[in-house]
Amino acid sequence: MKLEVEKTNCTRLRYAAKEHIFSVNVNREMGDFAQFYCCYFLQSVEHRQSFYIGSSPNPPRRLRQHNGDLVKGGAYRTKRSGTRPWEMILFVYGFPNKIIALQFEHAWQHGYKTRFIKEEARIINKKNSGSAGRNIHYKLALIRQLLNHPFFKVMNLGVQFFNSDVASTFDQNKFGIALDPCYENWGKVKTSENALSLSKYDLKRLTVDDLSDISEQNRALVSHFYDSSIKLDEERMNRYTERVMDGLSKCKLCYKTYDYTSEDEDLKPHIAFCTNEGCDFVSEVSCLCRRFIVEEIDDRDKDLTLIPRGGRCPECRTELEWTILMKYSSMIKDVSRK
Amino acid sequence: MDYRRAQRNLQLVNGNNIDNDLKETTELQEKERHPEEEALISTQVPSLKFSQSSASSPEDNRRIYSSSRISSPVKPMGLIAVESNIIPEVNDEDKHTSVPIEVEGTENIVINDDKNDNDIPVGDGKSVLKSRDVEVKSNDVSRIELAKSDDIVQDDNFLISTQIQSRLDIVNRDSEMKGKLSQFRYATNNNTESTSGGNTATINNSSRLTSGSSMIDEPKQKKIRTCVKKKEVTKLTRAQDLLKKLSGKHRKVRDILKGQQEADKKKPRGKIQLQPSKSFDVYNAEEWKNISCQILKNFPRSNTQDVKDIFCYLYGDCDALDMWGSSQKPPEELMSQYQPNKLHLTQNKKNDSASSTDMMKLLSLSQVMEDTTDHEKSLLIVDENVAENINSCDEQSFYITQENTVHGDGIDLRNFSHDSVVDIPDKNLDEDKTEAEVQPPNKKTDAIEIESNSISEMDDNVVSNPTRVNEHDSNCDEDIIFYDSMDEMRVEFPTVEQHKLNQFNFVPPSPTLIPLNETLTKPTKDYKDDEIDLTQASFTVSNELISPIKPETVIPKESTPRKVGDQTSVTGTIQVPATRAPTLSYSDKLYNVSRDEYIVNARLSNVACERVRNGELPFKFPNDSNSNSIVNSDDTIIYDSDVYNYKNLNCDEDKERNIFELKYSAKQEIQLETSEPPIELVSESKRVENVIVSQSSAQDLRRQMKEIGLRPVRTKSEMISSLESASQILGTTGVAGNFSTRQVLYDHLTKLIKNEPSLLERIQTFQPILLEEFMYELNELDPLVNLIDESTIQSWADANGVSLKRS
Repeated sequence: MKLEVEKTNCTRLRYAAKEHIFSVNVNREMGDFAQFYCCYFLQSVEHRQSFYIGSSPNPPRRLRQHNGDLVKGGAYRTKRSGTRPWEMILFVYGFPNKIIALQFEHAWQHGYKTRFIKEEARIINKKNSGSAGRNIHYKLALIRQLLNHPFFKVMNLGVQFFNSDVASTFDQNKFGIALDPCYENWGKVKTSENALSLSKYDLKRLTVDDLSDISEQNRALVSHFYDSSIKLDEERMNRYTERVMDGLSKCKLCYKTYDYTSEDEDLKPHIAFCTNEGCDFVSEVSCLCRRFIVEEIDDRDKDLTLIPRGGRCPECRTELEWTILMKYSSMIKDVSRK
Repeated sequence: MDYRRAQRNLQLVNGNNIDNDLKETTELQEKERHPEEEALISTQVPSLKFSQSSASSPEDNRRIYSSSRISSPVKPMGLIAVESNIIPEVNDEDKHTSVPIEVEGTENIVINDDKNDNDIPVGDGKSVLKSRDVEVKSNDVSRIELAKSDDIVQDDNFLISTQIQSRLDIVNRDSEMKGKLSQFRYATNNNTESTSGGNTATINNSSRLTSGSSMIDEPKQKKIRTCVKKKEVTKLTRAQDLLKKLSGKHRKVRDILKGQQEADKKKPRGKIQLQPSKSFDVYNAEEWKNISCQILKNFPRSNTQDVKDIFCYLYGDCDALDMWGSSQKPPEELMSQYQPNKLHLTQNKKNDSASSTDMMKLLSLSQVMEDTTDHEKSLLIVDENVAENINSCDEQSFYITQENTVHGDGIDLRNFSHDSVVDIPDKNLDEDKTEAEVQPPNKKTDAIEIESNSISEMDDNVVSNPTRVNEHDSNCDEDIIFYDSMDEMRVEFPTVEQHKLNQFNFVPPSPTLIPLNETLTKPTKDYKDDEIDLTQASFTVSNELISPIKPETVIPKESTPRKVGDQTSVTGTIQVPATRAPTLSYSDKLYNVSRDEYIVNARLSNVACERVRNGELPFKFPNDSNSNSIVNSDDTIIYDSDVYNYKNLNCDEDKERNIFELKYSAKQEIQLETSEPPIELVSESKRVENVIVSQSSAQDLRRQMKEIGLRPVRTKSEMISSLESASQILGTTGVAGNFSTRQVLYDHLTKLIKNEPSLLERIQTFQPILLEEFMYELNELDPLVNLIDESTIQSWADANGVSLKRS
């Protein structure tokens, strides 16, 4: 009898997990932890001085909307003639939820007045600053400034470039804004393999084929990144769900037991798993958080740190990002609720 | 009937030569027989009460009268001191008389109420003080003429000897006195000036009160100096009022305030004068730990003695010699570490008897009752010589606290206080001695502990300042611990009964301590509301106290802990600086920590309790192994120094549980509690802050509030109160608007969140929190958050990666 109940529970959980993964960002509230959320930067392929900043939980789909491939979904600002197709030259990803992503998007769009950039540090202070505000160098500098803000720094956001030319422009760092070293330490600024370079095209005389070629390549790059990310999540979530379904288990730091199969919410604290496939480390989030803060090498005051950026798994010493751990922790919790 | 008989006796005593005067007086008294008059007359003979009650009456009564005996001699002195037109004769030779003392002809006190100098007073009251009785023989009637240009002249000079007055009905007097207390309350100054001393010479002030125009006359009769002093007291509030009233004339007001500030600066502060050489850097326990670690790190060869030396250098040997010293004491737990060293120091000090630091500094009743401005800002010092005298006397091993200062008009007050104190029978002395025997000689605070707290904030800042002298060891006169508080009084008295009960490990269910306010007119109030924690802020203490109702200002008096004090109005204040040594405990929980063979009822901080329970805390007693520290952990166990002494005592000696537990149970009744553990130590005085704050313009205040990040408020008073509350956690740096103000506030918020697991988890998992909800929860943790502006919270959240959302 007991076995049967457990089996039913397991099936229910497994089903919920699957449903959760495939209903990513559907019917979810703004504050819920997003499996994927990014702020993207579009550049018109045909009219290179046109840019667009937006945010989306599903960038490939959103790109298709911007380019008119998908009729459904608003893309008013990118509809203007002479601008399509749009190339997603980069996105900033890793936002815990839609609210924070929208905050970043707004700050990026309104660099002249955002609270995340100090007034004295702002490159442009006026709204109507002409071409200076629409400059790619300025927009890339804003990314640096925003990433340096403690609010976003704690989230270990990543920057993914799909265009090598833009990546090199970013590296140029025309406004001389140093990016916090933690991004380099964590390897959060990357350029996709086979990133596009438009240098081989004659941008003034682009043919229709060139346009569609560029657009297609770009979409493939974005899709590849997004799909691989989702796939990784799915794999891990399956693994974690299996482990959670074992029933009673212990936090490896404080040795308190938890049970995600039970109905009792007290037995279901937020738990964090090691992302390493071979490691079965699991602990309560609060325990691991304390551990990470103590071990953190950054020069922050440990007594005054609320959220760590990450740390090494106490068992296998794999580097773990706090945001990623929290993503899975929240997802597991959601699964158990369902 | 009694009264008339008394008058007849008076006639007999005074003889025929004063017949006419007496008749006048009698007529007057019968005509205007006022309840107040009787009360006043009765106030003149507390000595009689004393003599009667000392034999058989309950202890409370005895305390009352004995204390009034102490206080009474001072009163006429105060009166004389402020009389500029009279030069009284004082015999200074009796200064060092040992007990028992018979003072004859010590003073011929002439009191003149005449303001206009029309009449030179004739007469002298010769008072003879014997050990338990007072006999006043008056050869002449002191004649005092009230020559008022516009008032009715009351020429009723009469003398009432205390013997005659003793015939008066005590019960009637008491009840009437109590009934009139409320009247005294509002005529504090009048009473203080007019109330005569009980057992000294006769003072003809009843006529003043009996006269119908007394209330009108009183303000005129006030001494100029008193008026000036009063002005100073109310200066602050007046400045505030002025600012309020003349809100349009900022510059004018500012000029006035500036002028006053400059005038204040010119006055040297007594505190600084008294302690010019002592400027120790004081570190708290954690800092000291760091320091010692650094020392050991940098000088690995240094032995423990070296570290101890450094400890002594840092903290000095300020064993609570005075208020300043006690406030600068090293933390309790550190004291324990270096206790042997400290004892060594005290021994050295004893040898060096000539040094000024040997002088005990404590408030005596005579000082407390004193009514002058001369030593307004000086700490009061016990006359060392007298103390030595008494030490030499076996039976009466108590101290007489006296003023060192002699008044400008040549009156030495010491005679009075000495005389009055030495007469006190010390019934419980033997018990004290036995108690002293039980205690080991190396107690930490083995000398005298004074808990001087004051109660009752009356309309005119009437404050009572009873001082408790807890004498554990008759030899020691160095170690005094002051716990002063302006707002309340709490006196601990291990009474005889209590001691006996304690022997059987019995905890009395009802408090044995008699809070002073019970005997006073002021309704009792909750102590815990106005607890002053020296680690939080400094506060001011009055050093001059005027008794409005002398006989009733009762100080519970015990055999060993000698306590002196009175209900008074504040005329001068002393700043008691903040200290880092914990003066209060933060939890009133009592936990039994069983360890080895004894049980300790220790009052622990919440965290410490938890940890002790979990066995995480290495709880150590001083006699355990070689470790000197009580607690080798971040969380400190906070003891009252007293409790700690007993702990030492028991651990060192025979590990008797009884006394130890007892002491705690006794302590339990006066447990202190603060709302929250101190987060920021306020180094500078709050009073100074308030001055700064109250003297700033509204614009400045607004700017300061913006800098700190407080919620903007409309009125200036609100701004001031808001800033003051903020300064509780921000310290002075906050109010001064220094660079780190916001950061301090942020740190405070972060620490608050860290102590709240549910909120912390939501933050750690990046869950957006509704701003209103977040503010509400923070407010639950600390009400101060209510003062903080939302934008400040938002910027703090941004800085810490906390995601807030708005509804």
